[in-house]
Amino acid sequence: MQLDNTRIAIRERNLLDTLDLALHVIRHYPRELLVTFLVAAVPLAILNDYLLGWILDVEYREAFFYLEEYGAVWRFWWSMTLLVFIEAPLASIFITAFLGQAVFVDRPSLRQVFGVVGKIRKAFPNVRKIWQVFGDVRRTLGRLVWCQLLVRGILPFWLLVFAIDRYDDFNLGIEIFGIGGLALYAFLMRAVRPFINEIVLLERNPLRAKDPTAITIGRRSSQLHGPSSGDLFAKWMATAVMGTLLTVGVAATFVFLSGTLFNDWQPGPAMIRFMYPASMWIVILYLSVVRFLSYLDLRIRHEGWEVELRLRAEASRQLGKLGLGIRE
Amino acid sequence: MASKSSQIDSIVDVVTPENIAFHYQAAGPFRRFPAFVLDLLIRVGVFAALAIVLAIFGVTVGVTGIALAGTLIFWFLSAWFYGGAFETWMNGQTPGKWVMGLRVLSVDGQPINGIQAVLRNILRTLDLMPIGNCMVGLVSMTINGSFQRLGDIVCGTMVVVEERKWLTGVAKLEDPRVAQLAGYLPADFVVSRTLARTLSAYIDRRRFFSLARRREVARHLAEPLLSRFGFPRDTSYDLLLCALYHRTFVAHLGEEASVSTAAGESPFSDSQELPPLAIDVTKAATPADNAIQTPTST
Repeated sequence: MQLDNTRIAIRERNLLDTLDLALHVIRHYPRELLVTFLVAAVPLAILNDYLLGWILDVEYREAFFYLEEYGAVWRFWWSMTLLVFIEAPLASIFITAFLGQAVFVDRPSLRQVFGVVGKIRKAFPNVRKIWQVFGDVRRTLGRLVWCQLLVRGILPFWLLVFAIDRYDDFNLGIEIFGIGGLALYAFLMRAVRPFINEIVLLERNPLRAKDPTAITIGRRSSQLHGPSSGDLFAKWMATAVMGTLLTVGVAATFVFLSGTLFNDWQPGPAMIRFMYPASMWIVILYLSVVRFLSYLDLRIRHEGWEVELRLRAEASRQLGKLGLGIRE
Repeated sequence: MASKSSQIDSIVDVVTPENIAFHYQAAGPFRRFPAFVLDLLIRVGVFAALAIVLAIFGVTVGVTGIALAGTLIFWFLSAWFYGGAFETWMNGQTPGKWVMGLRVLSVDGQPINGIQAVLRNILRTLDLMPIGNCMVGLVSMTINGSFQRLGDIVCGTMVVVEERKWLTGVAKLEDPRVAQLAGYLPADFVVSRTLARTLSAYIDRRRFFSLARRREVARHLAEPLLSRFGFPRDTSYDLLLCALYHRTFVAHLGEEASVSTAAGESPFSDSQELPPLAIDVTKAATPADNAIQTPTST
């Protein structure tokens, strides 16, 4: 691995260039990105359908409460949009881990991302060995649980959605103020602190440290995001607008395909139940790549990361000349 | 750095028929989107203004039918030929592209001709499919390495970013200790091309870094160099790289090393508060024109 010979070109980019470059990255790694995304997104999509799919179930709706179809569609649309939005960073954890390697390695292997799964499979059924393997990743897992599930409000959101009374036609407190408020909180958190996945998974800072000078996740996050929070907020808003337009575009394509293939131009509840979340997940895959590239861009702008990589690569060459080997 | 074509980037290599290679940044769908919106706004604005003028004219003169026909004809022509006409007339640019710094080129780097300009704009209808949400164009540009939509592929064109890059000259390093320390660098140390580029990149960006960050970044390269030159371990990393840069890019320009440093100031220290440092002069090569007193600790 030569640090100044990166696979993804490292240089300063504006948001539009980053959005374009993400398409190039997807073109180069379509299979890997799809697999790493689906591994996280499919369980979440199944969970979401369990949590909210009943709203569009006609028989259930008619049996337990009365709500017009358009009312049910709007209710589903609102809750599902917020749910997928809040889960998006969780769905991109494997993509982030993969792209972290893809910057430097020509053809990164999926085994490196899911290596722990293979180790657990080999260790099966020895519980002790499994626990040992699990021990390697439990710190990262713990940090993710804390940062994403708790601090970013995913777990409380799931609990709130689960608490919706399924025999009532609408729960104003939970469905508007509860999940709406949580989504707004997550929105603001992610707008000013978007790169928490990258800090946890790639930089691997500890959650807490006894040494006051140690760089914990919180300190690193403040250090990275703090100086440019205004800029990040503006970029995040622009990306959110672009994401919304893309979601509408992809959903409209599904409607078009349904119309031309099945002569069904009016998407019914069944169509909305699966196609609308699918449209959102497709766009989230793309935006996950955009977020990773924006992280690289922020590090280049604020920390001169590309210069640091060059210096480290040159240092390796100098050490090679001195016969001292390559420093890690 | 690896050759640009081997990296994942929006830079494309264009080789002209004269066998001259250029690097261009291909403009992707998101880079083009503001230009498209701007052109649309111009078209709608002109159409609205013309419609109002023709409506007033039609009502006043009593030829409303002709006024309506004129408006519709204008809309038809602007919808199909606005882009083609401007790209022919403005050498691959529409007003929107001009504002956004974009230009349409042939894939061989030549300016586009009228047929290419008109045809690629007529074929935009295909790229806006399936229902005006541009998904066909987006998929086409994603698959294509030069971000060509279907209209571009058919006409052999591509849209590139016209960016003027500022070439910075040799950086001026004001600190007199830089020239002083450069004088102590071994005369037989040859700066390789990669090292020269690295030094240039570092000096170009260091003014944006805090002191702590400079130290952190420079440490990677400065530590092995300190060992190699036999300089004291506490020599300022930043200063060392500046000195190397000075010797590589500035010294040959004829600037003499400044010797007007304050008494007791060491070229090896980042802080003027520090006492002069000892240096093993037997390890550090003495420059031929060394007018500087070797600082020694007392």
